[in-house]
Amino acid sequence: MDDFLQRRPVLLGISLLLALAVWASVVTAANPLVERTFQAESVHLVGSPGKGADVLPKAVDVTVTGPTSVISRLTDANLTVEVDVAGLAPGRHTVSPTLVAPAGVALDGTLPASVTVIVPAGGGTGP
Amino acid sequence: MDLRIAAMTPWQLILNGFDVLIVTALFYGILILIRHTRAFQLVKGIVVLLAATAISGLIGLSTLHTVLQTAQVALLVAIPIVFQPELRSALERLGRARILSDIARPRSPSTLEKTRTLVADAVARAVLRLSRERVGALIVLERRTGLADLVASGIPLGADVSWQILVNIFTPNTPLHDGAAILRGERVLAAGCFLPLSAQTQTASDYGTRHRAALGVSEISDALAIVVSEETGVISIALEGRLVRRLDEKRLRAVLETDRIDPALVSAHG
Repeated sequence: MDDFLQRRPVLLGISLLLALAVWASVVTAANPLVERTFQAESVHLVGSPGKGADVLPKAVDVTVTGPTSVISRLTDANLTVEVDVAGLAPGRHTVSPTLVAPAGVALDGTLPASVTVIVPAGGGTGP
Repeated sequence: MDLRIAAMTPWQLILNGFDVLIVTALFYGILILIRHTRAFQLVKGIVVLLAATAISGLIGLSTLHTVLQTAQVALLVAIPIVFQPELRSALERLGRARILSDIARPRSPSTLEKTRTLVADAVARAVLRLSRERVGALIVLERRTGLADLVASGIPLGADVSWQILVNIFTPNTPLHDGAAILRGERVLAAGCFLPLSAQTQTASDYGTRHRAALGVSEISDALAIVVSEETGVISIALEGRLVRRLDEKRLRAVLETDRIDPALVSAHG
């Protein structure tokens, strides 16, 4: 076992693993992941919304996780909440919003978890 | 971790990759320095401890995790004390890097080669003769690590190297035959020198004092030590903390002339 461990390629592999472990540990300690809640200023309708389509509520709370360095620079304005209304027929629909955020930011959830999209008669978003 | 990587710009990714490569080179250099010493076992222990700490933390064994974390702190204090000789040796080897000394003091390759051939031939002839006559001997060839403290423990000679002098030093029942003869370049600096014994546990049970002394000096320096067994006449060499036994003339001369142990020799005779 010792003979195997003392071979140069094996030592190089061990060195690389150790270096990656140290790097991961340092990066984790220096830039820990944090969770924070923002209030998205508005919910955007995407996917060719028909004339008169509406969404309720107009604004949602967004909880995100990301590195401290990124989250600390984040503002409400940096977060865009979108609802895809493509193909929705006239009527009321419950849809889960999605988040458009800077790289390294992940969506944990929104409050409320879903929004109501109202597509008026004659204003369908389908083809 | 993936979120942190995702948040990095391409330049930050390159910089971090470069950072990891430098640290890899640093770890590799340290492992190469200590791989034939007891400190290597310590590194294995540390890796196991770190892995156990990480795993216990991940699966939520909080008591074990705390105990292992405390052990790491204790280890940081204990390492420099317990492994002082190995650390000193590693730092000395680091200091022997010839980057600066070769620039400051250019050497004449032909002079060096001539001296090495002369000394190799004298040592080989003496060792072969002592081996045939089953006379115990221990010859140390100083390299870059200074052995002045060991030289001071013996009887100073300052003679030119010749096979006759070496044979004469180890002739039984003469005042200088006990201990080691230390050579620097083409000079026999001293004879009857005391060397530190190897602390390798396996060596302690398998070999006699002469072999342990040869191994001991090779552990604390880059010296090449040649041993002739008094009981069997077998020729062994110790270099970089490794002992290779049962050398014939061809292999002995090869080691003396190149300062290197052929890896095949280690697997065959180590």
